[in-house]
Amino acid sequence: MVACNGVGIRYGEVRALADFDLTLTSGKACALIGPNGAGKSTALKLLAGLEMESAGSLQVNGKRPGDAGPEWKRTIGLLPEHLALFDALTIAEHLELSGDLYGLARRETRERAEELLGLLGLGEGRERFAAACSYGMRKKTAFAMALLHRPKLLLLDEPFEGLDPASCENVLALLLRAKESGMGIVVSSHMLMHVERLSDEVLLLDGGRVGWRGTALSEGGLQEHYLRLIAAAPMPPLAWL
Amino acid sequence: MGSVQGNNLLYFFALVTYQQAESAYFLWTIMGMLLVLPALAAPVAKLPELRLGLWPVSKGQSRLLRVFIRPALRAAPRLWRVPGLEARQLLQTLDVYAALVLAVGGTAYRVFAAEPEPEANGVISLLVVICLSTLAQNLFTLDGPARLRWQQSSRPGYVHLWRKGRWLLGLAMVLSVGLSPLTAATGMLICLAVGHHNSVLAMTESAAWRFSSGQFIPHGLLQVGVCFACSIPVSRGDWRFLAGALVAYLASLFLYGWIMERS
Repeated sequence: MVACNGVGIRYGEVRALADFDLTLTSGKACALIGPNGAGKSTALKLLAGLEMESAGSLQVNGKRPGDAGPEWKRTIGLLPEHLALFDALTIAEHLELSGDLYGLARRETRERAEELLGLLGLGEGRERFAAACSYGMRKKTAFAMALLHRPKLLLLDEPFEGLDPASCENVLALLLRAKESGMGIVVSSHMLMHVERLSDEVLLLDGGRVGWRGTALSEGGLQEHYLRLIAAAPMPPLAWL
Repeated sequence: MGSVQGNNLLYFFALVTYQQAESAYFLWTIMGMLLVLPALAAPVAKLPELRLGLWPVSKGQSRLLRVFIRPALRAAPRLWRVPGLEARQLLQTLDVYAALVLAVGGTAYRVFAAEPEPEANGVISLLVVICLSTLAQNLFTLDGPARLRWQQSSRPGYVHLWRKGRWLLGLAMVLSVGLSPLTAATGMLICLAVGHHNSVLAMTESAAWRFSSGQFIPHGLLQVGVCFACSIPVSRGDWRFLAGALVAYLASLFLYGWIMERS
């Protein structure tokens, strides 16, 4: 499903990703964790075909994303970093648009959208414009758009951030269900508690490189392990605070 | 006024003002009516709603200002029952209403004038097309940073362009049905053929209840110039230009559809 070998991305002199290796089979989930600016979102964009590798080799769902045509895009579901919602569309219209963009029949779109809106607690706000929604509602809308066409591979950039605890549980339950049904999932997140429950493999990115990789640790263990690897900056006393 | 600056309507207004200044008063009045509320709202629309809540204004003032902050969000809910996402987006642009005013006026002239000028049908139809032509340069209100959604689509690019184009083509023909619909169709095919370039390659920040924006020069100029050059012969019965416009549209549709898939 995903095979990355020694992939690197450079923007001029800036190295966004280096020696990135990742193998994912169907029904498995991999989490990318790490500090802000570590290259997690870049890695997800790379897998979605929105960034081109400048080194290494990459295959996603049997194709190199840079060469893949429209049909390949049907196999990918993306929750992008900045959500990419249209201010002038309602929540329901976003799902209507998404079904159409991925070639779903209108009836199928409507049925799936109804179910997703209900499960994610968006039913009442369905006619609200994206611009008038809370961040959590916008995030859930973008998440529903990623899932709606039942892709083979889900690429989720911080799916839990900004959600209330109950919504986090719902999203997690949907992802576990998706995994069981054979979808592959690559997720970036800072919510390590959820990452542990979802992931079969965890990659810690730091400065564009994989600093550690391993399987999900026991409940609560990942947070401690993370802080051992990425020490918090020393906090000198601030005279004015 | 920002949105009008990149709108092809200005070519038409400039032409009328230059040729027949007294006729332009009527047009500028319509323009003013179409602009006045959104233009008043423009500076206010930049206010974050949260800030407005913190400012020491009365409840009445606050309520009034809120109406203008996001006009798109205060649209008539009935509009959302119109089938077709593209149609709903189209109806949220002022270009359509300017075209409607012009089409109704032109049709009334044809019906009620004692001796209507026969050539006027084609020309007025083309003016209706010019009103709509800037829309052919963007993705209605579904543009901006969220256009990532179009790039990620699994459907061929030409499908998206066709779905947008068919509404514009249909609208141009319906509005000019009492005038010269085939002239309008020729003009719109040309405007779409030229406009695909910007629709696919230039990101246009668009908003509801505004005139749509495009590139005035060179694309707007090219749209208006080629549109008139090809459509006037059609209004005089030379159908070869209609066939030529159709070929140009199809070539542009598949070329820019292909580019859209790879952008």
